[in-house]
Amino acid sequence: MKNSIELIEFLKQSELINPLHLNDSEELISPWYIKVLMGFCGWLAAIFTLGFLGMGIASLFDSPIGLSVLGVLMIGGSFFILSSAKSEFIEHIGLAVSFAGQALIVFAIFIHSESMELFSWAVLTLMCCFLSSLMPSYIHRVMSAYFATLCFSFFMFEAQLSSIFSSIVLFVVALMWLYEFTFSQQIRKLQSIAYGAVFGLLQFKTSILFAQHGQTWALESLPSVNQWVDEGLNVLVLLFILNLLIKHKKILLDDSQKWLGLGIVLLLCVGTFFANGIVSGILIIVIGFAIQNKILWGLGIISAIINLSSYYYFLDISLLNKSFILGGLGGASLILAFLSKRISEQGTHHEN
Amino acid sequence: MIDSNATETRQTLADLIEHKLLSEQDVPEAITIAEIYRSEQQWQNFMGTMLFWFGSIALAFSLIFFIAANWQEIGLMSKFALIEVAMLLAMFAYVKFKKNDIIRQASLVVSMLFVGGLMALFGQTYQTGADPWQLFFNWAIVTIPWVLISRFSVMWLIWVALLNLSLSLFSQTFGSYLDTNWALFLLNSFALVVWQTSAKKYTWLNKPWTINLLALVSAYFGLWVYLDALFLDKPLGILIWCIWAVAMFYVYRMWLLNVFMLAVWSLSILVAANALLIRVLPNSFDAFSFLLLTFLTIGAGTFLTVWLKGLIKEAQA
Repeated sequence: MKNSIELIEFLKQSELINPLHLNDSEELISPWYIKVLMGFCGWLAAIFTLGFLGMGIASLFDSPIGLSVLGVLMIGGSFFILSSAKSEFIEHIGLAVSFAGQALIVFAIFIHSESMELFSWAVLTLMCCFLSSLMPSYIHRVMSAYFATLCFSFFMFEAQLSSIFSSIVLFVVALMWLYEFTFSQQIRKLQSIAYGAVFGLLQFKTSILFAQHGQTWALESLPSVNQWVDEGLNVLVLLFILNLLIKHKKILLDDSQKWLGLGIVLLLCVGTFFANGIVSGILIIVIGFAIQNKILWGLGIISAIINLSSYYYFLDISLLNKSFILGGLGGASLILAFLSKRISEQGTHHEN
Repeated sequence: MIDSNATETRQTLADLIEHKLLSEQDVPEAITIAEIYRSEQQWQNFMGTMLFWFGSIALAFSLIFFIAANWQEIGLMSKFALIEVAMLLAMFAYVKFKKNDIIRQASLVVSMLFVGGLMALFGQTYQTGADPWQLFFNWAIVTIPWVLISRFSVMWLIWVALLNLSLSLFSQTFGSYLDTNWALFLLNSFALVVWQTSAKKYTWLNKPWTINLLALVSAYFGLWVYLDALFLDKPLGILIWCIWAVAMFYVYRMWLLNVFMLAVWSLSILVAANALLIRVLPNSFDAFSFLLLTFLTIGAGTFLTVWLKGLIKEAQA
């Protein structure tokens, strides 16, 4: 892969860019860990702001309308702060004010509806989606997209459609990443939303592993996820994305490669039906590899490891049967690895 | 698997497109020039490596689960024979394919896991009455030769994880002697110091993500030690944490510039400063205190972010 200096040189030589304008693009993009630090500060400051409002104007929390109005005003104010943010200090204030404003709206909905219902989750999902596309801050968009994904998961729970939730998000996220560079001038916006959605999705896939008796933090009994439907649809998304990658790259597969691919997908199917969540992790790894995105790659690996580890605690199968299943999967995987190497060597041999 | 230039090149491409320096119709050609998308050969290598690692680890855990299931249909000697033969096969693969990095590393990791399985079987069979922490501690001690010959940072991380597990189980068993946060803070800080100083000499240890992970774990447990000491009036904990904070700053700012480590340090400082303010304020939970905490968080967060960004520019210059 070319580094950025080589890339610019090659683009100049190919006359795809005008060298006279190149200085315009010199701005520092913060690495992910600085964004995490900023997001954490915004979140912590928002909690303290809420504490200030709670202690200062406690009576406000008795009025859902008052809370909503103040919440909307704070989000609106934050939009203008972030739009005109010329310094880090202003951006931090904007994030804190907006997160606190959103929390006020959540409080208002909680107080109004007493329990979180379908409509409440729909409103929150739409609000977060709206904010993730509107707010002029990368960190804000990541966090709004993350909350939107979580709210959407609760909406789907309430609508008794939780089994199709992860596949919808996985499908959308995969397409967003594969077509990231085709959204002219909106690339960073798209990337931030896609990161937020991936975080939300992975949290959902992990939390359903640890959910007990279908209860959530709200202590309401909710319909549990049908793992067969959930994982089955995940496999279909994986197949679709793999097909897209093959077509996109115009790769011509010979028969042996097709059979090998089929073997790998079958292996993943069997694996994911027993150790739930593997396919979503694998798909994130595949996308991370395909577009050379280290963060996605790392997230996919962490997700796959968590899902595999939780297999030990899966109570529907005895430890002995788990051992036989793992042995079968491991053996099949090694055979496929051997075949893959042979096919690769044959390909190289034919080329020579 | 992911090119070391990938993050920077992807950012440059996004910059060029967002600033309209590259027209929409030229984007596919620019992506091809940047070589962001993978070749067929890279895909085949990727699939082969993933399948091999998955297969090896799955087989290792299959055997460990089998031992844990304590199946009565097969005899004791057969179980011992099974796991010992598996260990020998893994070591045979190591010797036979010494020049193939993936097989060499995977066979060592797998045989390290088998050692744990063998020790668990031994404990299960002879009812040694050992505490759980002893299994993981002995496992770590016995596998030192494996780790030493591996020249593989992941093996070292697994080894450190075994020590973490045994130490946390030990402190849970004998809680009055050793606090878990203290134990894990000291262990991981020590591991970080040793790793960082050895990384220059042994290039295979010099993987940034492994050192970053150790620093993150050390910072996490260090913060708990600090918070515990601050609110329960234990000055020693505060002193040790302050020494840790000064050392982190000195090493990663003055000695080796590492912005990730300084970001971890900044996060710790931010939390520590807020906790200190909560501790010293007369009424921690009145409106004024919350306002003060909000401004401290925003002010300190801003200062640290600007400082870190300046360091990135310094590192790039």
